[in-house]
Amino acid sequence: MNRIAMLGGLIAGLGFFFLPTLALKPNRLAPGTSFNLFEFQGDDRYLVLFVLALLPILLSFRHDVESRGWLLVGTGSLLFVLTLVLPAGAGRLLLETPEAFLDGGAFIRNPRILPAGAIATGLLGAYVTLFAGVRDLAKVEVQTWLQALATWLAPIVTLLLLLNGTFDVYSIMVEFYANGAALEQKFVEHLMFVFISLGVGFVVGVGLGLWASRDERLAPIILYAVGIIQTIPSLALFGVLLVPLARLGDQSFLATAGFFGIALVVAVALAGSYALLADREPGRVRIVHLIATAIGAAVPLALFVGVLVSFVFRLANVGFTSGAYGDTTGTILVLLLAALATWGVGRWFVPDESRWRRGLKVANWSLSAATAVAVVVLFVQASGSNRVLGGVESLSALTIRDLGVSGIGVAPALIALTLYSLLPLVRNTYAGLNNVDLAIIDSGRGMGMTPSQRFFQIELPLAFPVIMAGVRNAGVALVGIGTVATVIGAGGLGDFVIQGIVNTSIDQILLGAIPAIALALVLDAVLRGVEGLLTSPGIRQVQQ
Amino acid sequence: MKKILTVLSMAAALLLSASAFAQAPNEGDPIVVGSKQFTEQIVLGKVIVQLLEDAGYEVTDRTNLGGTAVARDALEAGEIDVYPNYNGTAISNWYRDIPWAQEAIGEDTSGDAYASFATVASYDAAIYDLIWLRPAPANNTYALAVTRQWSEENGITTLPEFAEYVNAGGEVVLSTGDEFAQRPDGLPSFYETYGFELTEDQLIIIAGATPAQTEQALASGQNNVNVAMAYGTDGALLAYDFVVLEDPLGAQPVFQPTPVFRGETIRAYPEIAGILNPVFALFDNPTLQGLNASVEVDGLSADEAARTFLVDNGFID
Amino acid sequence: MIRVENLVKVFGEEPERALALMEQGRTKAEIREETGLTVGVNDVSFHVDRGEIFVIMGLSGSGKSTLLRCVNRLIEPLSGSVFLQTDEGEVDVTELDDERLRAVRRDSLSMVFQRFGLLPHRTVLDNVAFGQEIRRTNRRERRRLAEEMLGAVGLAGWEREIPAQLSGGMQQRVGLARALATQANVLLMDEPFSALDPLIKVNMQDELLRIQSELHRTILFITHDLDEALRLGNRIAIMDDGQIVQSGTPEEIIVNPKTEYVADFVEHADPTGVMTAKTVALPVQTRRFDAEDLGGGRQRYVRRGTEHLAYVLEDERFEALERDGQRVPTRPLAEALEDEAPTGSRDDAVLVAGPDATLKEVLQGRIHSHLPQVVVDGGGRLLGVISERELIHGILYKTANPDVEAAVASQAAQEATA
Repeated sequence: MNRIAMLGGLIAGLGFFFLPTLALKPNRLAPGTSFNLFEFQGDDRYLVLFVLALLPILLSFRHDVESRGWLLVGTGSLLFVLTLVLPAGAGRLLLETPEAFLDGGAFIRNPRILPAGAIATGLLGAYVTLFAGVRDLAKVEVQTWLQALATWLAPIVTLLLLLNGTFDVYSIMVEFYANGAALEQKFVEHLMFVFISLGVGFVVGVGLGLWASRDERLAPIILYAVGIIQTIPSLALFGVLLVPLARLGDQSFLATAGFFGIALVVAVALAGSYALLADREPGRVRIVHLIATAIGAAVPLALFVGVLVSFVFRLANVGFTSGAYGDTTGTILVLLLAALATWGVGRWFVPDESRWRRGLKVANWSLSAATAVAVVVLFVQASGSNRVLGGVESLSALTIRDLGVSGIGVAPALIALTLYSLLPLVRNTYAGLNNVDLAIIDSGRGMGMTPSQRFFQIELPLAFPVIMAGVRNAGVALVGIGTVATVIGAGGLGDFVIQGIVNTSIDQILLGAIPAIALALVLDAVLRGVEGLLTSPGIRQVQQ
Repeated sequence: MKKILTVLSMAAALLLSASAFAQAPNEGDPIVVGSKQFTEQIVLGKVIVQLLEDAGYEVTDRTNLGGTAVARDALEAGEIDVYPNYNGTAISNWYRDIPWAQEAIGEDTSGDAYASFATVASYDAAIYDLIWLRPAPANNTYALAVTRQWSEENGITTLPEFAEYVNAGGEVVLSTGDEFAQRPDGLPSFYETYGFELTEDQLIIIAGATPAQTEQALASGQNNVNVAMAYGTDGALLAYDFVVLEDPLGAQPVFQPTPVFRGETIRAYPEIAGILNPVFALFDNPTLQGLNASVEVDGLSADEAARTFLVDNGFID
Repeated sequence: MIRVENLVKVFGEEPERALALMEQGRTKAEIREETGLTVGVNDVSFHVDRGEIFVIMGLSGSGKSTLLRCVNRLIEPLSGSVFLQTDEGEVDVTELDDERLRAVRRDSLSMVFQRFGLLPHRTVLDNVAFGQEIRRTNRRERRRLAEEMLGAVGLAGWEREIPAQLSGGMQQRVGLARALATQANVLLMDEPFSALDPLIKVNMQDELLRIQSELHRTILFITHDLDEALRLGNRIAIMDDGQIVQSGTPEEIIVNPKTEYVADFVEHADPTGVMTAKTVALPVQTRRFDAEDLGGGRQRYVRRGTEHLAYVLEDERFEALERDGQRVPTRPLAEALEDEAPTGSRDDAVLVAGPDATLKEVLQGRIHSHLPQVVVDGGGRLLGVISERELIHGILYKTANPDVEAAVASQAAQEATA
């Protein structure tokens, strides 16, 4: 007996029986009238869905595992697709004569069809059934590619139908067509929030984690500090950042560069004196000295990184979102894919001894280099655009705001997101490095490795899976937190979500939320993939 | 001959517009237009953006910026040059709690459109160097909305009638946000002006709720809600087919949308006032309701809605 | 090869505070009581000769691992010196700067760990080649070396596997191969076999001895297992409370424990692999034998109680064993042990053992001949005979035959009276 399949059938069946399938809304906001599957008058073919939903319950009693698996996969896939397709047809019928189905007083303007609860339970039930079937197939060791096909057939068919316009009747698609043009830009913005803040957060977080793992006394302080950051509400953080960033934006670029230079000298002096004196200082003085050095170094560094990141964001935003540089962005994408492909093939499909390996390596290196060059070209092209520096003519007139730093917009958003990404990154780096088997580190020392060799060849690879788990956590969290960036005028998918909440338009909320969820899932999967590719099978085995 | 003239004039027009475009009056220093984060603000922001762009200015679109505090702070800090504000908002957010300002504003300015505007505009100019242009006639103030069916059944279209109904023991459940329920110039001002009062059982207070949420509560009829807090220019009022109860005595502060500029910007480009004022003069309650509805109800983007309005009224091509 | 002098390690803040107390001869417990400091190694000196296996044995907490780690400064000693013979002459490891210390670790000292310390993300081959990789040896050469060493430890064919797929014993073979592949002359082995199952452990010990007989490295070996120490060590040092309480050959330790601590240790040890024939053999010049001068420098000795056997010596060299006047053929013990099973009768040959034949070998010899075995030195001089009686005494009491000492004493008395 296959209990999971039975559960799937129950979810879908009960859903179709008790929950409304569609709601006909007289306009974008008004709630409208709900329709159960059995209320699509005069048309019995929709009852196919109900029968299909209950089928897995019957099938779950079959004993032959393989045939049961295939039948469940078939039923689940069909149910998945039809749960979306059949109500769409019903919805089109409803839209033909909306007056007939709505109250007399309803304000009918561009009526919409909202997919309701039964569609969600139907999809869930279908997915559970499909999952149960694939599990059966895995049990009898059906070939992996057939399992994969079984798993992905329904989603792929659904995607094709979506592209074909079959689901255009649903309100979320209507919303997409109305605001879709902005969607792409918001999506790219959101993606860049996540990547840039994750990138900066990665450098800072891994650095702090490393520091914490090297200094037992500082570790609790560092972990506590990043933990505290996590508890600050984003709105409060934006409020705190607005004024100083606006002031910073007012500063002229040259003056800031000068300040940066002086601060750098101070930092170097502090660091130098620490290196020279620390051994002779008593413990407490040494800690104070260390902290002063750290702050002295961190302030100009943070300033520099902040300005640089904001500028890069602006460059990237102009470069990737304005159509003007489409050729270059296209080239970058192709080169990047080619580089990844040569790397993957070389690493996983060509044996060590093969003479092709060297060739692939050369190809990979040159493609990577070409990608880097293309990115630089794009940035150079984009930096020529008025939109980057706002057409400032002389260096002395250049302000930090012209480089993209301001109290509202992306600068505070990036800072906040970077800060929020720190906790998982620091914590996991610290845990990962601290859990490296001491015997292995000792063996490295005993073999005469330098500290950096030890770090890169032993500690980092061994801590890598844990650090990557932190990156994944941070990345997925940032996709969610990124939606808050809208309140400081930074854009991103949050624009849709917040506006949708403000005018209680579910469609608009979904228009922002669904891409964000998809982005989070894809990001998680991609980072998992990267982690899998970069983690040695030896370490994976140890973890298991 | 006619053909040649047409071609020539077209070429001249092209050249002119090209040169106009190449020599934006604010070359290299774009005017940054902001707005708060709800439909009317975004539409008004887009209206300003499109008007200025059409007039040849370089404009940075920062509409949909954030809440009241973010937008105002951004304006004061010079991060944006202009955003549409409401006199009522300014009074209640920046001048209501300051004793000297209260003293100066006096007791009854809030409901008096001219007095409240004059107060806010003069203080903002003097203290923050922020310049209010001419306010639109619309009044996006707090109001009470009921369903058309309920209004017709009980024959109630104004607040005095509503007060009578309440005092006669009629059944009422009001869905409201907490701010409106507690602010002295909010619901209590209605009580005082029209002589009625709702008990706690008759209120469903949703913390931080916007009219969109209270209106949806009314539309769905949940918890027997039959009256909802609303904004006067809500597009959703049309969608739900609600009736706004008239406020003949002006119990609420006036919220007239007005472009507010940084002094520096408007002094540099004083002609902007001439561009924006005629357009804002057209924004009365029905017009704004229609604009808001075309976004909220019909699902147009704010950009499209603004463009359609400006093109239809001949301000831009 | 390695000379350790007055090495001291104290754990804790400001460890110098312990030095004065240590000089006063206070115990580890007293110092901890007084200062909160833990003495790890207390004024230890020893030396290891080239090609020798030197075993440091002690219970956990005795400081043996700390001592080993002080040798290559994985733990920084507080004071003392570690002189090491390298290709560039003798260096004091404690005086080296970081750069030169790393060079010494890379080139001259390699280490094998109890928990193997293999890199889980690298293949077996890459693990073994790792030391050479750090030395920047070219790929082909380090691969060749690694393959050779894997062959030496019996892991040929496992090059592409990852450590996690190997059993504990095999992982430690990889660890051993890695240490050998660095070509360092000195191996530091920190309880390398302690984590292994007993059978595999014995196996690995044999393997180590075999490899050592081929490669002749200098090995400093740490263990808490006395049998292992006795089996492997050319010399043994026993540590207690951070100090070496006794050092010497395995036999010296077994036969002559200097302190009660050592005596407790060796009480349960198996002496047969350690004690040698020369120790247990009973010299014929004692009162248990009756001597008869045959003239021409030849003597004949008959042991009381076994009068049918007579040992004939010429110039103190063993000539023959006579049984009832008949000469019995002689046969070297080593040759007899090579026979798989006893050939012929157990009394048709007398076995001749070398002075360093172990008790175990002598016992095994009794399978081939139940006649007493004679022990001769390199020049053929008769050192003594081992009958059943001597064997039993050696195994039971782990000391030399008391009659030997008695004989020596009586001889001395005779000389004194004469």
